Amino acid sequence: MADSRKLRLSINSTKPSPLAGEVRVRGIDFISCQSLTLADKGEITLSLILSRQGRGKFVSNICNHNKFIDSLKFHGLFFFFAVAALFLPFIAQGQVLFHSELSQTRVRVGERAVLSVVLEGDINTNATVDLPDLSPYFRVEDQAGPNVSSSMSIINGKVNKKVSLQYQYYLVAVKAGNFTIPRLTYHQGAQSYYTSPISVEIYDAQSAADAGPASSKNWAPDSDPYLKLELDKTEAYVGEQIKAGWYLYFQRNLFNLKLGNQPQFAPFKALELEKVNRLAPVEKSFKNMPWNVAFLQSLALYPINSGKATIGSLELRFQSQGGQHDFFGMPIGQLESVSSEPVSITVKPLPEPAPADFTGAVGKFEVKTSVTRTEARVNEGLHLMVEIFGDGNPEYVLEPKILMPPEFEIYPPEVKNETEAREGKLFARKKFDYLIVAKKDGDFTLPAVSLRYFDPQAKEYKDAASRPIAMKIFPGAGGASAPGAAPALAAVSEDIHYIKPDQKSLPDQTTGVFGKGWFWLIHLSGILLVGLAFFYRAFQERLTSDQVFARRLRAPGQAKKRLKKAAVLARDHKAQEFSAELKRALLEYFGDRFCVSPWGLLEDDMAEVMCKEGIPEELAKELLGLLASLSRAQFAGKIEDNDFEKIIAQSEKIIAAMEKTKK
Amino acid sequence: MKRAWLIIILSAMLVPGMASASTDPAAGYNQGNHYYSQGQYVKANGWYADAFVKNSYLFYNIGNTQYKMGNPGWAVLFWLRAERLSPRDPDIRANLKLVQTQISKALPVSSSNPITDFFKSLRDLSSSRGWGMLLSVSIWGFWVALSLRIIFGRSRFRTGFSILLSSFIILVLASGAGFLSRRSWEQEPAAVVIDNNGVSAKSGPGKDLTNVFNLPAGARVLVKECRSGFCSIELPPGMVGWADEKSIKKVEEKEYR
Repeated sequence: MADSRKLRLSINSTKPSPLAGEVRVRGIDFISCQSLTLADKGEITLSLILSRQGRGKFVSNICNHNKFIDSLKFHGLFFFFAVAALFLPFIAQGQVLFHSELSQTRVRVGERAVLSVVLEGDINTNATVDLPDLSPYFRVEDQAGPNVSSSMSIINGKVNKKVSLQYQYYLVAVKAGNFTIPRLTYHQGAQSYYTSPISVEIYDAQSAADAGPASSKNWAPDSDPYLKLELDKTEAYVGEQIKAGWYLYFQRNLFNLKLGNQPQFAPFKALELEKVNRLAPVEKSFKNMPWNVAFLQSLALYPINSGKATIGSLELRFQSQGGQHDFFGMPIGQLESVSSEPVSITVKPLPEPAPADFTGAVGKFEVKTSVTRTEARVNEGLHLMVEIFGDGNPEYVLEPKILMPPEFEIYPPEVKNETEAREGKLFARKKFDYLIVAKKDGDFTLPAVSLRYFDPQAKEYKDAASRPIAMKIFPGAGGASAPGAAPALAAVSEDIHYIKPDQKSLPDQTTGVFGKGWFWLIHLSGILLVGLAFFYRAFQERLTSDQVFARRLRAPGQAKKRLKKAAVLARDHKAQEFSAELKRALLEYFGDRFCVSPWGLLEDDMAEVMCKEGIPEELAKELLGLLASLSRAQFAGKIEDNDFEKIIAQSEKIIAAMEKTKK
Repeated sequence: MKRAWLIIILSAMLVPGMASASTDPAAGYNQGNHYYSQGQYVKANGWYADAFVKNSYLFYNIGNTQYKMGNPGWAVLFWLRAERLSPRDPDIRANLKLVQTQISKALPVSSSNPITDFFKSLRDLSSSRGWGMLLSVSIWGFWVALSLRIIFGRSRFRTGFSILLSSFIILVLASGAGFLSRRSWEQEPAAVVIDNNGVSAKSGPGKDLTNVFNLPAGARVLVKECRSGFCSIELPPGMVGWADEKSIKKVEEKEYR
């Protein structure tokens, strides 16, 4: 938490919903929610703790973006409850916010800077913060505060009290140099809270005046104001850093100064070196006339190609006090602008031939290597950090080639680039963080890492190299234990899973059954299936409700069964039983077919029924004749052997003919 | 004349067979595996590229090769492509998790919600093809159960068939929801930062505009539109910027090469 700051995010709205409307950001950083306060119906305030990853500009972009607001609106209620649920315990337990801020981090000797210290949370109003000793760089001129404000909130019946104390220390710089204001400490019970240290550059007023353009008796600015570009050199090698600084000369009162069009840097790579938020003019004399000279901004320029290169003009817009006055007698400012003149420089090519391993780094460089531990186990992951520091263009500092011992595996690095302005120059620190894993135990030496660069002062190619690192690798799990090594069962490193094995075939997984016709036919058949189910259900219901239909439907099947039974009796030559069974089969078929009771019907009655049902007379006669002959055979008890089959065939023929006459 | 026709017909029959033999994806894939096991990742990658077919095993192995070659962005891209085809594959998940853990340290924001995570895990139980297959089987089971319920509507099995029918209705709804959510996720215009140096998102489509945030290689973004060589990208929490079109690559493309 020491490396974090506080942000207050307000969502204001005229609408009843507190989470709809405009988002405004006051503050700088952003990452996690610290507390949430519902101020009134239309406003919600989120106090957020933000890590160093988020810069001010970045945050403001997030928060001002409609999408962010939309997502906030969408997730509004859930966000509210989730944040409240997550962070209420912290608030209840008395979370304290403690941070400090200096009004400017570059101060001239004799200049005043304000150190603001804020202590917020469930604290005592009498809490005090001790300012560390800032001598010999700063003198504490005055102190204001503490300004105390307190608030109380009741959430779910729980009362939370919050007190905010703000101290302001007015510091006067007394000695030039680079100084770090130590972290401030606040103790509450067993807990200690710290602010982040603040680095500040204090420069000498005289040296500042000397650093800018010198006084001159022969030259004076052409106009008031006058904007001039100053270069530290007018001749440089390709890739060599050139400091370009813009200075404003003025005698009259200027206000509302704003930088307008920026110069064109097409033949250069430009990186910001220094910039002022507030003018700090120094009085100088030109042709015996006093002029104010103020530094505006400086850039580090790296020429890309050899030849003549021009740095374009910078525009400064301002308002000056004219002779006109408004209705109330106040002077009316006139909007004007001034531009610097373009300046050309000569860019020299690098000497040929360049070494094979030269990647374009021009300037002065140092290479350092370090490893997390010089003693480790086999298969244990270690970080090898290669740090290249120098004043050249960081883009030309490429990943170094490391000739690791074959017993080590090395993985692609994570690259970080940091820049810092020091003594009027821009220095870059490029860090390559490699993961290395030893595959064998023993004593090894990690070789020196080198960078080939061109030194423009010495006008020759040089080699910056780190020192080799001696490593001692112990056997992995099961081997001898290394001093201070992790337990044998602990995971030692992470790697991706291994590749998939060989395959006999490798099908295209994006084409499947969805494109096949039969797949969709199966789906259609499902609908057909339901249709069939409905039909079957209706059929079954008719069978149970319509007796005529059921008997007629059953008639041929039943007759067939009885005929089979009769056929069995025929094989045994049982004439009497055969005749009785066949007669019964025919009569039952007759009853089912015409839906009458066949028993006790006379021949004439049967003929009449068949006549009514439209049975041909010959067929009716044949049936009646067959029945009569069967009655006779039943009583006689005798049928010729050849007649059994004939009778069965005749019966089948009659039934088949009767079925054909169905309406 | 007859002989000439015979030659033409035989050639027509043989040529497709020869062509398929020379471009057998499995052969190139296995050859790539061979070089990978020897640590010759560039060669392995070449063989995998020759074997190109939309297959999760091949995409996974290409991702591994790219990772070993020091291209984490390309590795994530191919693992994400593999994950779309086989969402439950533990190897793909493990590799993506490992790289995402490294990337998340460099990402400015991270969001995690147990409820959405739960639904995401349900969605990722299968690919959209898998969900579609389950939906198809469920629909067909529904028709069968409905038919049985109609046929045996008045029998003593009526309750059993009613439960079966209800189960299939629930299954149809669940698999339909899974299919739709997974499909909509797969059709998201997702892209991955492939530039090893990461990408600086600008405030508009121009390289001289203000940097609004930086993304590391392998970060997954949504692409909204592309113009003048820049694409409007969005991170899930609503951060929007414009990135160089060449530094990102879409996960879903007609041609994956």
